[in-house]
Amino acid sequence: MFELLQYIADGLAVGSVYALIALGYSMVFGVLQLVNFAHGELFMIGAYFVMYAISLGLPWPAALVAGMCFVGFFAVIMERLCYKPLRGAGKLAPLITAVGLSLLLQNLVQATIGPNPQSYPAKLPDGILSKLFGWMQKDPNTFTLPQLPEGLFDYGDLVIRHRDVLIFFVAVGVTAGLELFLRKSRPGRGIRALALQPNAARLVGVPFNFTISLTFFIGAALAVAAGLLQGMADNQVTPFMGISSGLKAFAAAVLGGIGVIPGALVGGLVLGIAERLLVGYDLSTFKDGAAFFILIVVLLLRPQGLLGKARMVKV
Amino acid sequence: MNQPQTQQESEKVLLRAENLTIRFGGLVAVQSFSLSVPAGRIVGLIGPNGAGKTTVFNLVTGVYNPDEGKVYLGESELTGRGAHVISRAGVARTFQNIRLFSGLTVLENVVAAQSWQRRGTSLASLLGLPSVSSAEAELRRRASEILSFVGLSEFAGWESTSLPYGLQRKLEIARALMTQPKVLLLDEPAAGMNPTEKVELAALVREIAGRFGIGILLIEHDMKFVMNLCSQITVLDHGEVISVGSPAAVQKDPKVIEAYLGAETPDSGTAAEGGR
Amino acid sequence: MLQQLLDYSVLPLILFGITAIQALGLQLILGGAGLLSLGHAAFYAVGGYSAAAFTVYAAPAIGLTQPFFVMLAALAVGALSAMIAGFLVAVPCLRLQGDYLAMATLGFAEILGTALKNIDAVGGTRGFSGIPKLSSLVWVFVVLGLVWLMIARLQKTGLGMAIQATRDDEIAARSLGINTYASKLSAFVVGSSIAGLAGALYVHALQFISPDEADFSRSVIIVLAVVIGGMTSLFGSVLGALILVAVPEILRFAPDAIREQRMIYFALIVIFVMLFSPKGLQSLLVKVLPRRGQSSGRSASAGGQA
Repeated sequence: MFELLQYIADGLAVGSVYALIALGYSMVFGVLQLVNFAHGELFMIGAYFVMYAISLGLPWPAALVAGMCFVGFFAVIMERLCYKPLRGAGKLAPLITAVGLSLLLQNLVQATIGPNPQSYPAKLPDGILSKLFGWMQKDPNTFTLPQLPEGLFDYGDLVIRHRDVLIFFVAVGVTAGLELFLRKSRPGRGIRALALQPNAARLVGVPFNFTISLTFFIGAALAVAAGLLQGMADNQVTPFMGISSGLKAFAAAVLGGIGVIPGALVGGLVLGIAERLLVGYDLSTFKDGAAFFILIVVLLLRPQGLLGKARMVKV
Repeated sequence: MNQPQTQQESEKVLLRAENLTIRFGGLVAVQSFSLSVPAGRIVGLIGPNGAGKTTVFNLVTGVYNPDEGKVYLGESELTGRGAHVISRAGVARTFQNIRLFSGLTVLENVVAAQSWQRRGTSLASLLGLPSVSSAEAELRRRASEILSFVGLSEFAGWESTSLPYGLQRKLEIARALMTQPKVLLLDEPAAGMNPTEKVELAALVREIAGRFGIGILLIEHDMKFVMNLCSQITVLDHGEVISVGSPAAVQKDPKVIEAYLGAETPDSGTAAEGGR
Repeated sequence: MLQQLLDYSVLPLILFGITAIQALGLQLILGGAGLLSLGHAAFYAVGGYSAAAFTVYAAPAIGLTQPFFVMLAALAVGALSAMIAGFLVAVPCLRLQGDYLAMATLGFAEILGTALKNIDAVGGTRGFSGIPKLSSLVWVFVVLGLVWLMIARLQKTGLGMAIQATRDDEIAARSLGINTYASKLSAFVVGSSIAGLAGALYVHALQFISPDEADFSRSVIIVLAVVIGGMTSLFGSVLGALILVAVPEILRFAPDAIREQRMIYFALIVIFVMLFSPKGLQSLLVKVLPRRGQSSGRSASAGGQA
């Protein structure tokens, strides 16, 4: 019994990270009906950026904000250059472009930083990065890693790490904040209007391109937050971490109902718990398949997801 | 050209819609809609923009399933069948916003319309068996005939979407005819055509009805076009039928005049389009 | 000297032929039916594994030893098993639209890869080795030629038209009596079985296959081949396969720094193709090379009339 509770508690932390990434997929899909395949790579770039920023001596909140801005604007530029010209070109072209972007970013990062996992304190790779920022590099020996809280809530058989609680509440808080932003603020309502009725939204004066950029920016910023949490929790960052986490987060978004903000949280948590249960009950070889199994079952039985509503096709 | 209905059975009712109703969320898009199309007759369906005309087409052709009501072709019920099943039963249509197969040539667009009737299994066509080849030659021959019937022969090898607008609409009609329909639904076939093209189109529609006994249901905003062509007209407003009758009777109906708010009479066609 | 050059080029040529067959199969699904499958390599792996298992276990058991006939039967087994796998995946997944379909095929491929890693009879994670060498350059190119002819022929048949009509406009296709689900299913299943053929050729040429062949990255390579060359043409897919296999070979003599970054170039090419020349590199070639008869006549008349 305690075992089960333990797995659920662990799963909530893993699922929270998926949820943060899933929010970005969900928002972009809501507005453009596009699966931004490169979203997982934004998460990966964010994780690298924040890890280097912290290793160079920035306090972690500053590193996080800097990372959110950098990756956020990167996502905006990516959208302007690669997706915007393809609006109205059908669904296949942007989707293939997104796959291409994902591949490009993975390999670019691998080429500049190297294929091996990095951990705190990360040393800048030789080459252009260290030429530019090498002067900031500190002596690794004097470096103290800004830790996530290490304490435990100990209830005898059930042990919950403070860190997991923190991650969980960050995810819940961010989701609630995002939902509030989308409902109450003017730009947030613009995003919702665009998702509901693109043409009508444009007619009543929602700035189309700005709103889409904003959507990409927010999605990317949340992915960076996820990257920070994941990087600190595992103390490991690799160029290919975006693939599996990205795909699982996408599965989470679909599971919860793509385009529905609380759905991303629910989907992420369900997926995280399911994975932990499989690992806990010695079925870890099936862990990676499990996300997809759940994804496919949901797609077939309830394509609109747990919290989503079915859409009508227009002729 | 193949003739599904050679003899004149003009008073036989082919298509019958009974009390069709569909709601989208809280909105009742079409309410208790009934109508019948006899063989060889041209029936008009008019109404202000947003009245639900295209929705009626979608209900009849199986794009949407009605919440209530039934659709019959002759004696057989079509309600709730798949769109492709309804098409095979003999109901063909064109689209308001032209939907040609952009990757295919003009001739291929027409051939594709009958592709499902091609003899032989997929395996046979993969292996290119002789029986398949002859069946396909036959399909191409028929497609060419239909193209010449609507006057598109010289464009057979063109990319379909490079045709001028008016000819694209004609190609949609040709494609629909290839399915050997009993009833043909035309959604604003004259939209975007110049006066000369409209005259030609009217003659073509008459010939389709007269020569092949195909029942035609026509949505059109050009009132002159509709009034000259149709023997009966149904007027739709806010999803409900507000008037049925001969062109002359419908034009005099005060309810119809009121529906086209801002227009003095439904005669001045374009006012209806600008109205909403 | 000549002999050396020949020996050296046999393996790349075989790989090119196999990639081209894979690409042709995906071309039918992606270019023909407009369905993005991100799990094409999984069907290739299914075909490869089944064909290998047939040759190693089943063929001796039923007394089939003549290499030519074993290879022929292995090809049939590969195609058939991939066809069945394709059917099982397609039946539920084709109810989904665009992006969801891409994700579902990807998901099935991952699940399949996981399953292959857990089957010990075919080597598990270590891979399946010790397969007799029955296929050769000739086999590969004969199959490639036949597959090309078959798909070219298919495009002109009613089924081919129905598939293309479904790709261009599903609602219009249905309104004309085309069972769009059936056309998509046919394209997917035939495309998958072609991937199975490629798998059967591969295992009997390289005498080895590992679960990595079902990987997402392998599927992406095939998508790249089809898209770079030009989704809408068979020639484009073969051209794309040629580029994907030839570029690393040519770069063999280039400095490491350039050679290792080939995926970057491929990814960039895909993005540029999508943005600037959606018909792929083959359309550029067609523009450069002198036009052949009918097509040039058609475009001239189009120019005159429009």
